[in-house]
Order: sequence, then C-alpha cells, then structure tokens
Amino acid sequence: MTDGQTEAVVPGRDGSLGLLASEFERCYAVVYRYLLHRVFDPELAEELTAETFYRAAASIRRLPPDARGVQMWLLRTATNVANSHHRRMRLRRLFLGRFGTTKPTVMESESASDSTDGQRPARVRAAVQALRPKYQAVVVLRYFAEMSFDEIASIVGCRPGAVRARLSRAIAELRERLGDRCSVNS
Amino acid sequence: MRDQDSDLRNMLEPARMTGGPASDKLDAVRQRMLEITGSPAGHRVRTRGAWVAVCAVVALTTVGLAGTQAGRDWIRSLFTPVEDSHVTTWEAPDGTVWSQSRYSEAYRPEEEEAVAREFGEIFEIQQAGGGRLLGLLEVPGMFGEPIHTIYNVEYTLSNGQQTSVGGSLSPKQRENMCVDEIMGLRDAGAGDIVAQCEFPIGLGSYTLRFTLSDGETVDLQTYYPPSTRAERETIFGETRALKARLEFTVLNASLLVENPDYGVWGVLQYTLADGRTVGITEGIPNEVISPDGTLVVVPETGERVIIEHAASPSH
Repeated sequence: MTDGQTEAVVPGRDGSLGLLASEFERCYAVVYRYLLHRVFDPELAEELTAETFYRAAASIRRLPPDARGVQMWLLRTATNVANSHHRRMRLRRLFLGRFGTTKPTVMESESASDSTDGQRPARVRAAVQALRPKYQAVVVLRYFAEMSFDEIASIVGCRPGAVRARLSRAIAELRERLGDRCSVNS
Repeated sequence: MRDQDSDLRNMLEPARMTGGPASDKLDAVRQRMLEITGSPAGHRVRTRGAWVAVCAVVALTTVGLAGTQAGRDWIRSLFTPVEDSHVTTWEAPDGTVWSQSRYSEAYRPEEEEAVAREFGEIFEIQQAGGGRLLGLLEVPGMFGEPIHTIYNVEYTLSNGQQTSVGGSLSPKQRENMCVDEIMGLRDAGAGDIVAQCEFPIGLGSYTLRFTLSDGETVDLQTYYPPSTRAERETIFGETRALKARLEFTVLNASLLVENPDYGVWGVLQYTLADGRTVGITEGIPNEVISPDGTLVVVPETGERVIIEHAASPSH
C-alpha cells in the first residue's frame, strides 16, 4: 500500500483511522478468506467483505485502538454480515415460494444429487451452507480462519464453552449430512 | 479438542477455497471508504434483502401489464434488480410476458425450455379457469390506476408439482374463484385477520378470512390489513405526496445498467401521518441523486445510500 493510498482510505482523524489504513490490506485478506468460506462464492465474498469495511468506515470512531482489536472487530462485523446474508437468503426463498415460482439453488441441488468423489467439494460446501449461521460461523472461524476458542468466543459473542458446544453440534450435523464418505480418507 | 479439529479437517478440507480478493476491488473499496469517512452525515449501510424481496413483488405486478416492447424491456430489466439474479421470460399466447428469476446462476437453454413448458401448461390451466387463489398483492398502479391488484394462484401441474404464480386472472378463473364477490368484500373493508406477521420494510403480512354469500370461507394472504379500497387509495395517495416532497427513507437504490434511461430504482419507505410505515419499490426522484450519479442523498435527513449497479439480463 502506498502512502497515497493510505491517505485515500482514511483522512486521519484519530488513531483508529490511521490504524485501519495501515492494516487495510492485511485485514481485508483475512476477512475475505473468512467470508469466502462462509459463502463459497468469490464474488459474493468480495461483496460481503466490502460491506464489512464500509461498516468499519461508518463506525470509524468506535474502532479499537490496536491492530488485533481492529481485526477482531472486522471479523465480528463480517460474521454479522454473513449471518444477515444467510437470513436474507432464507427469507427470499420463503418469499418467492409464496409469490413466485422458484428453483432450488445450486448448493441445494448439488447436495441432493452429488454422488462421486469428484463432487465432494461441492457436497461439503453445501453441508456447511446448510448449517445454522451460528454453527457455520464457529466451524469456519475454527477451521478455515484457525482461531482459538477464546477468539471465536469474542467474535461471536458467547463464552468459550459455548463455542465448544456449538462446534460439537456442528460437527455432528456435518457428519450426519455427509455420511461416512466425507469423514474418512481425506 | 484435538479430536474435534481432526474431525473438522477430515470433513472440511475438500471444501477449502484458494485465492485472494481482487486488487481492483480493493481500490474500489478504498475509494468508497474515503467517501464514507468524508461524509459529514455518515453512511447507512443497507442490506439488499428487502430490495430483493420487494423487487420480486413489483416484478410480479408487471405480469399481465406488458403488451408493448417497451414494457417487455422494462420488465426484463426490472427482473434483474441485483447483480446475482437471473431471469428467464416467456411470452404467453395472449401477449403477456411471464418471468421466473433465481439468484444462483444464469438459466441454461434447456432450463429455459423447461420453464417455458411449465408456463405453457399453467397458461392452459389458467384459461380453463383452474387454480386456487392464495393471495392478493395490492400496489400503487403504474399507469394512472390508483391500485393494481396481483392475484397469487396455486396451480397443480400434470406431474403433480404445485407451483404458485402472481398475475392477472382469466375470466373463467374470476368466475370459478368468486373473485368479484371477494373483492367486493375486500373493498368494503371486510375480512377477519386469522394470521399476521411483521414483514420487511414496514409491510405487514396478513391472512384474511372472507365469508361468501353461500357460507363458504376463503383465506387469502394480503400485505395490508382489512381496509376499504378508499383507505388503500388514500395510503398510496399519501405516499405519492410524500414522494413529491422528498419525505422518505431510501432502503436501497439500484441503477439498471442495461437501460439507464429508466433511472435509479429502489425501495422507498414512507411514514404515514398515522405513524404507519409503507415500503414501495419505485423510481427514485432525480432530485435526490448526487450529480455524479453514485449516491442517493435525501435532503431532509442527509441520508446517503450508495447506488448499486444492476446486472444486465441473463439473455
């Protein structure tokens, strides 16, 4: 990031602004990777990442004063953004089901029909997508973002023990959805 | 915990995706953040859910209205309100345009053919007077009409599948479904609320029960509670007046890239004099569009909403 770009992000009102500017690219990549594994769609992940950073810009005065805090704040916001996205998707399906003709989404159709190992990635992604958002967040933060239980607890707003419990239930659900084929040989 | 991590690795590793964010997106986000942090009024992040839902509603209102090429172009554009939606259309023998949209991927040719076949079968059922009336959707009329009503009808296809379609009714359907009697009751303010739930953008969802002259009861879903036609016309009249005075909140805004002449569309939310809120998808007045065409800026509140760019139709 050049100095000019840093200035372009943040005009420098206080320490948080400069911090977000200096951490922008690193945090952007972290948030993007997290959201990519929440939605498994690069373009949508880009969009949700952008929304996360717009929220950061809108809340610039409330950002934590340290780099670690900024990253945690961004991941917390990204979690909310992703959860909202999944709720909207569910609402939309309900709505269209009432007032229009609808077709199943790609993920749903893959989940129903995939049967070969070559299609396993899509099947696993569909299984993750089918988890409730609070389980999905814990799973993705733990495995794909490699966060500790304390960090995940801070991001999702619960105790570390609750994170463990959610993870346990999520694993059970995934195992049920995926059957034996995807829990071995990988 | 090691066991849990091991389980996760075994199950999830195949789903891992690689690659990072696109650099041009990073630059665009930087620029937008500058605009947001530089805005004295701040920025209100809006979700697209309500926009998507309401666009679906408004899109359905156009079924049966479009007999002209301009109307068809407008429908094709309106049916793709956000980047990730796709549409396929079918022209019925009576000249109306039917449409189906989805958000995952563009329709493949064979899927478009399947949709066309399905619509063709529904059209035949419709002309024969079949189907079951599920609900009414009442919106401000677009061509001088105070209210436009869309009827949501459930059809059972030859393969046993049930599907519902919003639009107008054939004469035989109106007769079979006792629609004239139902609408007479509706417009007189009748109908008992048997269920209701809050719906996005301030619209309530109601299930109303109408008792017909022969004692039969019909439950219909609506988005306005029991009210006379005059009362609903008053609501829409009030929203038109509020719009003229630029007294509204913008929930979302979108420019139809393929047909920018249609202007910026979005979900406007109005607060009526009695405190109720009403959300309507419609064109956004040019007076609140920033000179560079990127933002909606509502003068009274200083509210700023980024104008999204809608994708072109899928075919």
